[in-house]
Formats: sequence, C-alpha cells, structure tokens
Amino acid sequence: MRPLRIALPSKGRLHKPSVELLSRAGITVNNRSRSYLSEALGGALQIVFTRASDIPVYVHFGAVDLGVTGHDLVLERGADVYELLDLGFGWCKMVVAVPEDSAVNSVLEIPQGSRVATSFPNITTSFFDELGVKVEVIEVEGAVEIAPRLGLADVVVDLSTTGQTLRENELREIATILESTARLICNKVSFRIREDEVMAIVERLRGCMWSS
Amino acid sequence: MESKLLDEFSSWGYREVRTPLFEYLDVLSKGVGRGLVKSMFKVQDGDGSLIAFRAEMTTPVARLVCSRLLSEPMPLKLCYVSNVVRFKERFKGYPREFWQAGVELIGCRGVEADAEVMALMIKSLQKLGLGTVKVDVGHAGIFRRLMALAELDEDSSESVKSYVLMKDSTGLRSTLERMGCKSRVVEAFEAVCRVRGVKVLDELRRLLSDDVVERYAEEVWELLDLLKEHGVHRDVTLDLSLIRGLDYYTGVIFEPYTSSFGRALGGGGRYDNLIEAFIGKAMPATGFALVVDYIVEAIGVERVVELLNNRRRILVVAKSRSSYLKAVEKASELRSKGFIVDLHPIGDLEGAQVKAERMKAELLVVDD
Repeated sequence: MRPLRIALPSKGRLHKPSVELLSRAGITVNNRSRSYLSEALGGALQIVFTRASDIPVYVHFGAVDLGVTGHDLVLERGADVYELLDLGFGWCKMVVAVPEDSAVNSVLEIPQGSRVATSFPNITTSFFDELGVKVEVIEVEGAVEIAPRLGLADVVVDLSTTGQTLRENELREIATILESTARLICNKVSFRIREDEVMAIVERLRGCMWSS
Repeated sequence: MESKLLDEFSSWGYREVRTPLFEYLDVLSKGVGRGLVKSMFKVQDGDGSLIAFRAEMTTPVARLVCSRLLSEPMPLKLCYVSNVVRFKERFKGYPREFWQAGVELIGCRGVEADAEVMALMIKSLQKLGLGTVKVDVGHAGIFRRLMALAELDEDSSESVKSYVLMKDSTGLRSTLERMGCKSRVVEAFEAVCRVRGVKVLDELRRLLSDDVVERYAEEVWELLDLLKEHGVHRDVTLDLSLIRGLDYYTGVIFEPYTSSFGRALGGGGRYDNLIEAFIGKAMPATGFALVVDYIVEAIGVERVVELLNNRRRILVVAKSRSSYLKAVEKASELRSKGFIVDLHPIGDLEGAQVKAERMKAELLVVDD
C-alpha cells in the first residue's frame, strides 16, 4: 500500500499556518523544493501542495487521504469527507454585503433579480434559495469586493476577517452566512481502512494545535 | 462480473427479479429522501402524470413484492443486477448511469436476516478478489432516538445530520447548544462522531440510560455475535455516525470499503416500514446494493478481464471456402469442450494472426 498522503494549501492565508502546524508536530515539510510530492516521517507520509479549494475534491475521491483546508471550502465543493480536527487557525466569516449607500438593510430586502458576485457560487445559491430570494449569482475568482463599484453586481458574498476590505471598498455587511476555520479533513474510506495511521497523525496534530 | 455476483447470490437461495426502467414518480420516491428524488430523471406521461427513471433498486423491488409476490412463502429472498440513473451530482467524475447488484431479504424481523445479508455481501466481495474488505455498521434506530431526545426543529435536524456525516464536532456542538439541548445529549452526539467500535454503546448507556437505545444496543451486540458465527466479524466495525442518505432505513445500516477505492462500494440496511407504505401492513425487510462500476475500478479493469477470461480462447479461420465446413465442425467440437471459439472470416489469415495475438487466443488455421 502506498504511504499515507496529506494535502496542504500551496499558497494563500492557510499555507503558512498549515506548514507551521505540521512542523510543530514533528513533520518536516520540505517547503523550498515546492515539488508537488515530498516525503516525511521517514517515507511514511507523502505531502502534496495544492490549492486549498481543490483539497476537498482530492480528499473526497481518495487521491489523498488527509488534507488541511477551510470549512467553507469543504462546503463549497460539496465534499463528502470527515472533518477530524478543527485546527483553530484561519478564522473568517462569509458575509453578504451591499454598497454603503444602498437602501437594503437585510437579506430579505434584497430586490428579486439582483446580481450577487461571489467566489462561492454553491453556498451562495443555496443560501438565497433557502430564503426564497431570487437572485442571479455571478461567479468571480477574486477581488469580489470591487464588483459593485464596477457595476457588475448589486450584492457580494465574500469572506471577511476584520471587515477592513469591505470598508475600503465602501461595502456594508448585512448578514453572516457562516463562520469557518481550518480543518483536518479525511477521506471516508482511508479513515476506515487505515484507521491506525490516520489516528496517529490526528493525535500528533491535536497535541500541537494550541501551542505556537 | 455481474454474473459472478448473481451466481453467488443465487447459491444462497436468492432469486433474480427484474423491474421496469421507469415507474410513477410518487412510487419511486417513497422513502428515499429528498436528495435522491431531486436527482431522478423525470418525464411526463401522456396523461400528465410524472414518470421517473429508477435511481436505486430497493423501492422498485418493494413495489414488485407488494403487487406480485406477497402470497409466496416468507421470507422472500430476491436479488438483482440492474442499471440505475441519476443526475450528475456536484462532482463530475460520477457517471449518470451505473450498475447495482444487490439482494433484498423480505419478511424476517430477526437480526439474523441482517447478519445473513452482510455475510453474503462480504463473502461475495472477497470472492471477486478484492484485497481488504472492511465493513462499518451503524444503526438508524439509535440515531433516530438521539434526534428525538435532542428535540430539534426541521432545519436544525438537517444540519445536525450533515455535521454527523462529516464528524464535524465544532458545528455539531454549536448547533445543539444553540437549540438548548441537554449536555448529556450533546455528549452522546459527540460520542457517536468520535468513538468507533462497541465502546460507544457503553458511552451511550452511561450518558443516557435510555430504554429505546438499550434495546437497539442489544440488537447490535446480537448482530456482532451472529457475524462471528458467519465467520465475517473480523472486518466489521461499529460506527454510529454512519447514517447513509436514504430515509427508509429503520435498523442496522452498513457500508463496505476496500483499500483501492476512495468511496464506499455500496451499502445496505434494514427498512421495516417501506413495504408498509405500499400495502398498509407491516413487513420487515433488509438488503444491500453494491455498485458494480466501483468494484471494477477497485479491482482494476485489467485484472477483471483476466478474472473473467479464465476459459481458453481459440480463433478458428478457414483457409478457403472449401475448408469452411471443416472449420465450422471443429469450432462446435471445441465449444462443446468448453473453449471460447471465435470463427474468423474466410481466408483472412493475416487479420486472424493479429486478432489472436491481441485477444490472447490460440490460432487454428483449417486447411482442406
């Protein structure tokens, strides 16, 4: 059987704390090489760097056994995986925001047919579906906050930690869809077939989560 | 592959049944849960009624039992290999159409019926040459009872279910606490997510001392004993967070896994109320379905071809028209001896050579 595989975010805000967490747990990540597959724990663990948003998909299909990624991304990709640990870092909330001068003060006041820009189209669509508010969801990959000023959208759904980016772009938060942190996720079959190896990694990481 | 599974099922006394490709939507949606109903392909019949293509086999077989087989001696043991279709789910990479092979054991309330179908499933998978096969068992009765003790509204019970499916204790705890659940119920849910193996039953006893949970726990213990008697207990683990998507389960639930494939190979469990929904009379039932496509992928296509081609192949070619009669006679003689014989077009010796090599067949050229 191949060594256990874990996927870590290759860049973005979850990259550095993930690598640090693993190294505190005694798993040295050869970060400089940036080769997509490196080895640790004397060959017992393979480390793969990939986009945080793709990690739920890799884990869902069992291409990698474990992954570190955001709870928001697991939900967005609809991955059927286990979240074995809440790693505590990478906190953010997903909010609905409108231009500061908008007359809208709550999501139920958003006019039918409004355009909503987001990089989380699945979560956004089901959020508005459940409220019964008919909107047009426009998927953009980044810089969602500028969409209203450019006339692309009336509303945005985006991540926010301090609210500063929203304020800089003259946006006002009107609702929170969810809160998210980084999680250790696991393929459901790996969890069962390789339970001992998986739990050994879980325990290693659990022991170092709050020290830093 | 399909016939190997059917052979194994029928050697345990299960009779093959077939059901229509499509039926009325309200028939096919009985008990299967909102998610699956959404993913059914639907069309309109001439009179405006909605027809759906089958997306799984348990409900169609239950309908068949109700309309045709109720007068037969119980318990009924039925099996099938059948294609089912669903809309593509969020991930590409799942086919719209796939094949299910399964059994239904109808008319036996005892947990020995669950043990029998689980043993049949495990032994069938092992016979196909899958390396490791592991099976997890959950219990729909225990989970329902926990949900009842938590006294949740519809929205929060949906989210609690999805947190349990993900073993996400952060989300689970915050939802249950927000709904004002007692702390021992919250702890019971956490134990369900965290504790694998029979230890979880002791945890639940300590936390809840609830008669209903106790009764189901007894059932689980009995199941594990019976599996031991079938000789398949070693690879079975209790995991009460296994709840599966379909709403019709009432008791034992299970899923098989293997090391070379990242998803469950299928699943099954007890559904004592589904048939009652058709005939208004209680009728216990249990069964499982395996996804043939997943099994083939797990074994590897090449090994499957090897597995199925253990009969020797011979490619027979007549050199000319005048030797054709002799070639035909030779071919049927060889077939009666159990060989697979492929009769090649007259005179194409060159083509025959290439094909024989490719098919790993012996070449027999028939001359006058």
